[in-house]
Amino acid sequence: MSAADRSQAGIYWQSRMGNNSDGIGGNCHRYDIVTTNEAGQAVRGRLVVDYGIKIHNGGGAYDCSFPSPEALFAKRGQPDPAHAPDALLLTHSHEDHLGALKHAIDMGYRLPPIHCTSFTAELVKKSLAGAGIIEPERRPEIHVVKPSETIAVGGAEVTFVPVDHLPGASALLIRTREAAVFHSGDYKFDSTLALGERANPEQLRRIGKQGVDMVLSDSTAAGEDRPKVTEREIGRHLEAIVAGQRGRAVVAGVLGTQLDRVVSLGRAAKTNGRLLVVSGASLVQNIQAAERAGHSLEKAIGAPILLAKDAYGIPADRALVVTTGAFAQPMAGLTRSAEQQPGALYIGGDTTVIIPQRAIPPVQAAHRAMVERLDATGARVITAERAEEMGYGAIHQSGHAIAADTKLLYTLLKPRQSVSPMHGAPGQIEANAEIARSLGIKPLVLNENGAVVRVTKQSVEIVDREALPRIGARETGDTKQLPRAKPGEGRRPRPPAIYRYDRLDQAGEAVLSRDVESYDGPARTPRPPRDQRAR
Amino acid sequence: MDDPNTDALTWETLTWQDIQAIGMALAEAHPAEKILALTPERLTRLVADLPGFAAGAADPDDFTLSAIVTAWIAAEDGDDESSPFDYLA
Repeated sequence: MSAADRSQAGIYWQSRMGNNSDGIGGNCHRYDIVTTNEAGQAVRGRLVVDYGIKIHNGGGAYDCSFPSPEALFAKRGQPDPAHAPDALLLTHSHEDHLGALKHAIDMGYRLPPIHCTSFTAELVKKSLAGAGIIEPERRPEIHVVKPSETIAVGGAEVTFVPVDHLPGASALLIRTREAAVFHSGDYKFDSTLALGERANPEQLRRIGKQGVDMVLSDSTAAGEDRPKVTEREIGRHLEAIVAGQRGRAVVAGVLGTQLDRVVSLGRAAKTNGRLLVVSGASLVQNIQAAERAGHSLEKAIGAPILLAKDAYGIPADRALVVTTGAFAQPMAGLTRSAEQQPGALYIGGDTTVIIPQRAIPPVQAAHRAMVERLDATGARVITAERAEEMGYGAIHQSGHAIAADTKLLYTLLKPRQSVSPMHGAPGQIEANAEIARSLGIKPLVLNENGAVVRVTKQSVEIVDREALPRIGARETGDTKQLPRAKPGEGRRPRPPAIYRYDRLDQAGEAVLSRDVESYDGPARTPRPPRDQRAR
Repeated sequence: MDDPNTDALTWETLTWQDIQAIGMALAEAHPAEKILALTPERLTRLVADLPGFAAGAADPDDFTLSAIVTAWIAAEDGDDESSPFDYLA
């Protein structure tokens, strides 16, 4: 299939992977800018927005797919091809929006300059360092953008508009003389989140008054038409739970990126005279990254945060320990405690366990098994579902826009041409589209990736479709060779994995060829024979 | 079979590129350090003061310092990855 014609003036949007018929993930969008500058000269540019992974399995070996970098980025050591983008813009730091960066680099590609807010930048560094990508020549340039800042890039003016989701999460307003597109990223409206900048309805209303031709919006929870629970309300419910546990140890299991929930738990601990203790490398790393990015959890809580190593002398009933494992992932703190693994945090009959996160379908079986194990220890286990049954109220709310949020966004922005729902299951996409229709806005529903959509002030039209292969990544068992340490010196973190990359079809199912790119990184440490592997 | 990650190299070979080894060395040398409050300046000094750290090494960039902190925390707490499904929460 030949490349689509993108020669007429306008903004060309293409979902490379993000409107998937097989589920959420691998978010990546290409924007081609065709415009003129103030002198009337033709200007062309290209932007890539997000580059994430889609996870295929709920546990076990890492298995994911992502948009092929072959037609997106330049190969390292080679001149820029015609398709090389001017910049890669990241909306936020979840793996489905940036998790493929390390894979493209390992496949030998050179990433363009990245523009993102400070917390996202920190987690890009963490992701690449965790994958063993530390050499300056393989790392991308990272440019930190302030919330609400507008940058000139790729022939467009791009504003990073704060939204409520994760610290630093941003929608992108991409504006040229010919058109303006509002790319929501993942968002919701919750003015009570503690970390980062809040979505500002007045700012969004001003953007709408300046003119927005098209809105691309998150559909993940658009079908949830019920009253919203704010993080402040969740915090009050958590305070009530902790208040009722005098004399008992309290352990909470969260997700490593759920930092606003950690703040709510920290405030619940403080109100009840407990010290907040965090345990679990991924959680501590993210808290440290937030501190580096200027989002201090300690300031938000108003009390110090202790690490597990600092908390040995504290009586169990004077602490609230937050650890990882809300989705029962292997190696997480709560999972290891439930399985009573050596060295894991003790949980028993004198412990209350709070899991302020609903299980999602891919992890429900593992989550159920973990809760059963925790119940078997004699602990009082309060899941998100049980908290409501017990009368405490909600202790979880989706991080994504529900129906009321979606309606508010469209009401503020008043898109002139269209809305394209993305990032959701088919039912949520349709629910999002129906909200647009109810407001008199024509939705453009794309059930697959590859459509090339031209946006101008006069129209939104699909001008062509392109076939877009995906790449599948699976752990090979080999690892990258690390700088070495003498035996017994420190606990050795697991070395970064080496992956096998396969080319998949558009649906991510059929393997068309294997090992499409040879691994292009540091030295390889072969997987040891089975009888010599550490357990 | 010898573990290829543990043979001849010693701390004397450490440079700023040895992220994981530096993380492990810091965990050993500074168990009481308050990592959440660590400034780039203090981290740079702690690494430069590690016994045998390559003298005269150029100052690290921000990426390197960030990676070292990540490795330090992993060395203290062990493997513990975020759920790959965090994004659906």
